[in-house]
Amino acid sequence: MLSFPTPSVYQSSKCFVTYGVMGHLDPNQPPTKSKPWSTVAGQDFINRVELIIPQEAFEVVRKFLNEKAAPEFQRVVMSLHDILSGDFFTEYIKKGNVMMLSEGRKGIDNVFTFRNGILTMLLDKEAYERAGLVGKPDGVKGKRGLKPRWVVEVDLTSSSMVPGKKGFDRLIYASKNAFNTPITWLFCNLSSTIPNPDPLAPHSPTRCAAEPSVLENLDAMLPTLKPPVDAIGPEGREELEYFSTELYEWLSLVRLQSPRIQVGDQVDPYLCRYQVPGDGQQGKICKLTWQGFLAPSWCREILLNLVAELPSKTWFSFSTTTFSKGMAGDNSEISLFRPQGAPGEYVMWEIKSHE
Amino acid sequence: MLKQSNTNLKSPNLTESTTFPNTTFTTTTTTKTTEMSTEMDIDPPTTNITITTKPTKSSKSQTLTQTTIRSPVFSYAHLSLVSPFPSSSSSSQNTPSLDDLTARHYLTTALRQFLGDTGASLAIDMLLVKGTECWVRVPREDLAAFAAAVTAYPGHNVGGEEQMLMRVVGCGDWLGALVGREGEARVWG
Repeated sequence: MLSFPTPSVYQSSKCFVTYGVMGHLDPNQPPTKSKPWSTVAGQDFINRVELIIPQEAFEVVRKFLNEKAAPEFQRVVMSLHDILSGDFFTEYIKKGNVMMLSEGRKGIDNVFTFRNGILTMLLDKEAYERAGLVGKPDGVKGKRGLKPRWVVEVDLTSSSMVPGKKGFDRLIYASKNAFNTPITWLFCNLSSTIPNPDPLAPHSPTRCAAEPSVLENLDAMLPTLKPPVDAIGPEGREELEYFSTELYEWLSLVRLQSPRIQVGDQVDPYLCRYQVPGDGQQGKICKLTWQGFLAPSWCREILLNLVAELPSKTWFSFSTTTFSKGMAGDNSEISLFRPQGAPGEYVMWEIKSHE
Repeated sequence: MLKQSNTNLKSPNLTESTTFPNTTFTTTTTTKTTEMSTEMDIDPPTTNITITTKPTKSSKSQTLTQTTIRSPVFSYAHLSLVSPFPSSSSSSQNTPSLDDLTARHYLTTALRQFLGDTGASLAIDMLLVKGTECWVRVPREDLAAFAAAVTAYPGHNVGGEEQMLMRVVGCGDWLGALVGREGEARVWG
């Protein structure tokens, strides 16, 4: 009837739901390769982390959070050439392990990122041609249209990436001539040591710490916090899809602090027809939010702590959202939920769009 | 003889280990140790190997089931009330705050103007209204029409001369990702 395309530009993201078992956690040998851990650690730049727990578990969480320092990051204005030269390059890029993201919208502006010593440049046609570096087409070829873009990736940790070598000098030339304007960067040092003197200091960075903001004693209507038993059966896929969509919506409403999930909310059905799924159970919950430039390794560490320290029958939900990318500002997200009274089990939502 | 008993043991173990990994782990070791003591001299190395591999298998993480949700029932939108003339100094301070009913009224007016009665009948659920921000839920297939109607709306008068309109801050199929996007600008300073 209406001639609007149904998956609109805003609706390119899909949700991959995994229901699995975590296995025993050995604190001396934390798992890295298996499913929930590798997915959490494999994200790029995380903007927001949210944790939802029942109120009675808050003391445990506060205890282990007090033992840790809040994750720190810096905001700094510098040009690409500043990063690729002098002490900053040798101390942070070559020797250290840093994570950096430049300002701009991916897919529209020229965006630079540093991760694990790899420089990635997402460039439009003009910048790509001016840079004179070798890259490959960005995005799906059929959809490139009139605005083709390129992505250039350089592994700066390789032994050929030193001043005097051809490939590196080309990069320096491009950084001096094509990308010489200073831009804002978010900077996060992943290694525990800071070189002395700090090569970042001359650029006068703004130091920020992502302190958690806590919302306690939220009186909420609870949905069913356990996957249906027949989710694993032959016809379980539909059952799981239904359960996970409803639970995800409820968790998102908690994160939004919507009055719709609070006890005693009496909204007229003309305004909202949302109803908390389940049998009308009530409970006090607690929400913690970190916002900043967070490393996936830090998220994995918090998740490991949660699994190890919380009583095994307690439910919790842990979500991480990346910085937005793409024209419609899409971002990818991973949410992990441990069901109530089912130690070791987890439900994970991976939301991402095809890039 | 020994091989046969081994295979018979294995097949039920595998199906059980998905549901109760710990209990099967203990039962297998006990049966294996009794076997080992009785038939020690026949074939000791193979039994040793099965004992060492079994526990690691059951304690590993594993996926029980997986699915991909491509088209959920609902989509979500984050809107904010703005003045189309931000230059006038008084309007920024006097931006009226929204409540459920006013927000719903603005959206219905926008939809009616764009799509007539079809638009006005679109099912909107108000999830949160706070200050000038507003979060709504619409059926997934209506999101494109909804976003277009809100974007095309020229605004209306509030309190005589002040003109206000709704801006789409973000929308998508997954509310959590939309909520997580909030406050990103603050990180950049």
